[in-house]
Amino acid sequence: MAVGIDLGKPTSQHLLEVRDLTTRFYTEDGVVHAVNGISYTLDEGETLGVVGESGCGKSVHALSMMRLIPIPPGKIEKGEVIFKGRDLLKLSEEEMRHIRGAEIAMIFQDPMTSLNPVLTIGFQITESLQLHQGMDKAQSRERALELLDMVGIPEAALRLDDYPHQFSGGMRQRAMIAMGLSCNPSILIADEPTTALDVTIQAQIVDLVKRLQDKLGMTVIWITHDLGVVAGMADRVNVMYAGSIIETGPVKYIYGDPHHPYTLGLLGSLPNPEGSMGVRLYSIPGEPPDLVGMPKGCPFAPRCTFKVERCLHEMPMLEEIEPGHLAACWEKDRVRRV
Amino acid sequence: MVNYIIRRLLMVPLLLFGVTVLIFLMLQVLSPVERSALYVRDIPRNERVLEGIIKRYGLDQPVHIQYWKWLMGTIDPQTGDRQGGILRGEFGYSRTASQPVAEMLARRFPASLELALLAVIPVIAGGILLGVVGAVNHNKPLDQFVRIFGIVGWSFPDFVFGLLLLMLFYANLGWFPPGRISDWANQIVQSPEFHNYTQLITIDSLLNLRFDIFWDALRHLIMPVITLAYLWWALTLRVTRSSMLETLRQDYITTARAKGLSERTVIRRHALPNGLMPVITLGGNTVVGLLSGVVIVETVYNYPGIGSAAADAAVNLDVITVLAFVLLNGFILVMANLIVDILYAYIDPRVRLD
Amino acid sequence: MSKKTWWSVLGLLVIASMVLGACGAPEPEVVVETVVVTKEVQGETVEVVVTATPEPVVPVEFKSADPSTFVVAAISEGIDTLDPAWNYESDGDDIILNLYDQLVTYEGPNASKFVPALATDWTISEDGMTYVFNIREGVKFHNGADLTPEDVAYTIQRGVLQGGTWSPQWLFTEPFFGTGIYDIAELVDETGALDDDPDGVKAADPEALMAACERVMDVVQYDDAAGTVTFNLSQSWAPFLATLAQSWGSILDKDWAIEQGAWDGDCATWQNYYGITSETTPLRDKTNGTGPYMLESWTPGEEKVLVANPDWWRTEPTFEGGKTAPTIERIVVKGVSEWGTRYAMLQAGDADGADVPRENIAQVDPMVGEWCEYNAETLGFDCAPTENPNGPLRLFRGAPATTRTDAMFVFDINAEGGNPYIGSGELDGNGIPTDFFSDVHVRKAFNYCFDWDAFIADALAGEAIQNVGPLIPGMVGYDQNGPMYSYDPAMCEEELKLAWDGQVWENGFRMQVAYNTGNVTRQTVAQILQATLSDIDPKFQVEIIGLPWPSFLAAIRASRLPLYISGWQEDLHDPHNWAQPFMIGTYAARQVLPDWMVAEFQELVNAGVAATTDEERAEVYKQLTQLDYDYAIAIRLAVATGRHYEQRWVGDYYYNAINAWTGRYYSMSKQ
Repeated sequence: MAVGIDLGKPTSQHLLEVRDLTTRFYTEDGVVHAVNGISYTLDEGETLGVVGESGCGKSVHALSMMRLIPIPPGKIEKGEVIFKGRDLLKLSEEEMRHIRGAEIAMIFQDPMTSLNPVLTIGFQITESLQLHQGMDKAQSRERALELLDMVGIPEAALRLDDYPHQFSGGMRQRAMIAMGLSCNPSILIADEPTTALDVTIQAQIVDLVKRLQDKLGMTVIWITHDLGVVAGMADRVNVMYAGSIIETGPVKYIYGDPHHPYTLGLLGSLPNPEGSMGVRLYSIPGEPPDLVGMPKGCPFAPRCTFKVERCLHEMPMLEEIEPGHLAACWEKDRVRRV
Repeated sequence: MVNYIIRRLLMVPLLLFGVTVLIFLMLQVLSPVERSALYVRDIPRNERVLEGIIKRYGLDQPVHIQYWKWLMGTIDPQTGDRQGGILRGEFGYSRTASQPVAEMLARRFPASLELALLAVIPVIAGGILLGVVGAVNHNKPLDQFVRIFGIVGWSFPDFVFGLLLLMLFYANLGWFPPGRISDWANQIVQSPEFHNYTQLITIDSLLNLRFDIFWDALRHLIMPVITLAYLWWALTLRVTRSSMLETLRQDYITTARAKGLSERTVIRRHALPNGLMPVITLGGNTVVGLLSGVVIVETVYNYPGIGSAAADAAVNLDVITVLAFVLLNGFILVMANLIVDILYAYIDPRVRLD
Repeated sequence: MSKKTWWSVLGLLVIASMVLGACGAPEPEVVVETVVVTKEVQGETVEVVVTATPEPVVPVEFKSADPSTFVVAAISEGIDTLDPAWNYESDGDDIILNLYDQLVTYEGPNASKFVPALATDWTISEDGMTYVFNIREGVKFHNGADLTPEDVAYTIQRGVLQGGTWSPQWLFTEPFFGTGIYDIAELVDETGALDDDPDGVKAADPEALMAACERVMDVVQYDDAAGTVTFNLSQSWAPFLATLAQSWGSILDKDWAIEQGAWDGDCATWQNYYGITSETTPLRDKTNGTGPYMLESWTPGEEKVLVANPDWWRTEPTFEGGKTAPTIERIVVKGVSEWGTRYAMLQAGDADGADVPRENIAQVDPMVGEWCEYNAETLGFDCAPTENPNGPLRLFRGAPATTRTDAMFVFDINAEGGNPYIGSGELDGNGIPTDFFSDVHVRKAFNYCFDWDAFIADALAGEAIQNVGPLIPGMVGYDQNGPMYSYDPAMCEEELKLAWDGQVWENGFRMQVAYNTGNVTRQTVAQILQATLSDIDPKFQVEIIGLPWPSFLAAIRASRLPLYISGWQEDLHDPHNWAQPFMIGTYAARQVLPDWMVAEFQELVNAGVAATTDEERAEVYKQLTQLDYDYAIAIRLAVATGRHYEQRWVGDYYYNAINAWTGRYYSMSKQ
């Protein structure tokens, strides 16, 4: 398991520092190793993309940071999440509630199911405002209007008292974003926000977030399985597989010069608009591993075309390829994009 | 919404017509002699008695004539006056109750209503509370206790539970007697000085400023209400619990928590409105069930509600009375369902009635 | 406490109460001392252990919470009507006899002797056909009106003219117009076609109607000036006083009755009031009598409440030691259908008396502190403390009831359209022919094969005596030492061998005996026959089938049952009231007794009712009983002795067979 990575700046100067975060789920079928000792840092104003397949632990790690994991069956075994100098994992529930929504906001994948169908959008936004910013009803309503405007919802005044089902998919997600931003959080975690939307709307949302980020100086963690989206907006990328970060680095390095077979595979799966017609899409053979009863050694080994004997017995650590760019693979030097 | 309500109300007479026709048809399976059994307690002393009964009550007439008579009444050959008939507001005479059906309903229905209204509160409120407690503490000891509590209540035969309570609190302790009110209170209630505004003794006694009667009525209601509550809690509890469990799994609950709301607020404001929706239907059914009469509780506590009267009528094939109950119940059912629908529309903005 | 804790506590409370409730009432302690005593037994000195009778305990004073109200927890409050001319149920009798008075009444506990009530004295003509009653003066009805002879005459006339074959009026029409006349409509149309047909009667020939009414007026006459009422019977009628003493002899106030909408007394209009049903009679729920109690309220299905009449006329008790005015102010008869609840009421002391079904006596007996056995000599009870002398209840036991159930053979079973109860319908071992029971040997066999001891033990909890003949104990003509059958399998076998020239013995038979579900007595009789007959030989098969009440009734009506078990509750305590239905009346007809047999019975029955002295009657009924035995037309079962439980603070109870177990409330007291 990788240990804490120093990306050059002293600890206290990072906005967020995750160290060796490990989360497991104790279920009837066994212990699920969802997040296996991941570490990274995040600085103000940065946009971090976290990519990987379903089940790789990207959402779970975010929920772990927010301490929204259901305990039982879940358990954050160990690790530290240092936010503005404080370890979130050690805060009391009450203190944590002051963080959630106010300092760190999270928005989710499907705005249809993530918004309460029986409460108005206005209510769901003003709720946070009243809670965290101590506004009264009138003030919070005014602010909510501003927010809806800001996210580009037309005729915001009329729509404030509408219910989620009365919005289109894109509008709903915008409203969700408005909700997330309402208390000016330092970090916005977006867990697959565009996955449930169609392509044109996706672009709009991505655009919106970028604009807002510039305007408000927000830090964003963007979780997705869609590499294309990440390419367009992230500064740095963490590639996760089977609960671990297997490659991390600035976006252009990840895309231009990946050194992990999995990243390679992911990129290879991307349809390349510049590619020639008739070239078959490469898809990674095999299945992601069962997170219960993980084998020793590299979790990707069963599917890896570059694997050697060592890969089956020893878990590779994240090691530097060049400053800021690390990969966890025994054969990383061999792995090259073709 | 008004259109919707009107259309639903228009369905009532159709429904009632259908059901009453069905009952009439079912009864035709029996021969006139068998149907005359209602009027005879034991083997008649005289051979001709049964013929007389059949003639008197028209038991051998064709079914559609009997139904018509029930509906529209009969014409007295001497005076030419029409008498009786449901559509003219005459419910007939109840053989099993030894009084006109209307009188019997007028006396017994308020009793059942009072019991039902009082019982609904603990049944539903208690069940909801326990269900929420169970769901929120899913799989923890409190949840297990709640589930067991509910199962025991559901499985416990009502007459056994009722008799146990009776033995303990009445026979041994003398606190809560059976019946509806004590003799001394009854004398006052029947007297002209007492004004019966609602026929519900608890409310009327308060309106008449007779707190002693109020307390007496309450004393008599406590045990039936506890018995009913304990037995019916389970249903509300189960539905609430599973509905809440389902709701708590939803994404919007995670969103709410992610906003930093306290768990209490999350449950109260975000989970309950969604989780309790199935309970609305259940609540409606519970009220209907309690109003249709809870025969065994009424019998054990000697509480004069419509349940025992209806059961008596049914067992003795007292058609007239049974039909009156059918009408009453049918009406209650339709109204209850209508109210449930309206409540749904009120709570869930996705539901629109048209 | 938080909400969670509240609910946990409540839950624990509930469970705790369930556990406690199961423990029930504390058992009374019984202290038995044993003493060893030396005794001389046949010359030897023997040591005998004797259980000493506990020292007589000073009786605990039993006081009720409210001595002015008497509460009875009855099995049901389900009377049909309070109209005395209509009511034919013992529950109704119970109330009517307390609200109204009759011309004569019983001498306290003696159901065969009559003392003045509304009549001060009377004369009966030599030929027994004319009764003249002097009507008491100064008697007031509950509404304040005065009693006059006209009221008496009106009451009886109205009852007879109202008719109805399922009312008790036949008890008047027979003495008034002749045996066999069961309804006034038969005076208009002899064939009985108009019985219970009000429309038919209204449409009948006005002359015939008028004539019928005038006949009634002839029979029942009054003279206000002389203060008398006269009855001119069609024949001497021994049970007449007994008939008048019953609830249908209750006297109404004519003006009040007319006000309520009853017959106006005019012969031109009686047909408009004929055949009114128990529910449409205007006197269904209203009463106005002269009796010791008044009706305060009647809530059908729940309770009846009576209040004492302070102006009751009685100044002489009906028997030595009797009372002349009610001491208990209010009587409440509640309908409590659930035994557990009645039991709870007894324990709580809320019920002063309660109906205790036979199967529950074991539950109640531990609460009995005083045990009173019936004494047939004194017509009273001898009481003694029980092993639990502080028990709150008192038990009266052993007085013979006035109902009997018999198993009656049908001589000609109706097989039209198929009859499932007779199997194949042939004597082929797989059924019985429709005239199976017309052979006396079959009937005797069934009698010898009936185990009375088992029946009394199973169905009547051992509290009964086998009955001799069609009458019941305690009346003229009944002889407990008369001829009766007893369980004798050897004789049963002999008779079976003789039946149908041996065909029965050779082929066996199969039949079904039906009972209405819930009726344990009938079921037990069927079970006994099944067991005893198959003991003789398995080819004698009696199958038992429980039918729902309507089906049972229909089967009886259609005469399909080969054997039916039915009971009779006497209307009056007179041998005629037993002889008539069983030998020539209802039951005889249902049994389809052959005409020659009925004719034989008829002679004796008529003689019995017309006889003017007890000796004459006794002789007639003795002959009748012998015939009943010889012809074995039925299996006469047993008359149960009853039980009556009351709280010990109640006093002065006496038993009169007619008033059954609730007695006349005015004679009771309560501390």
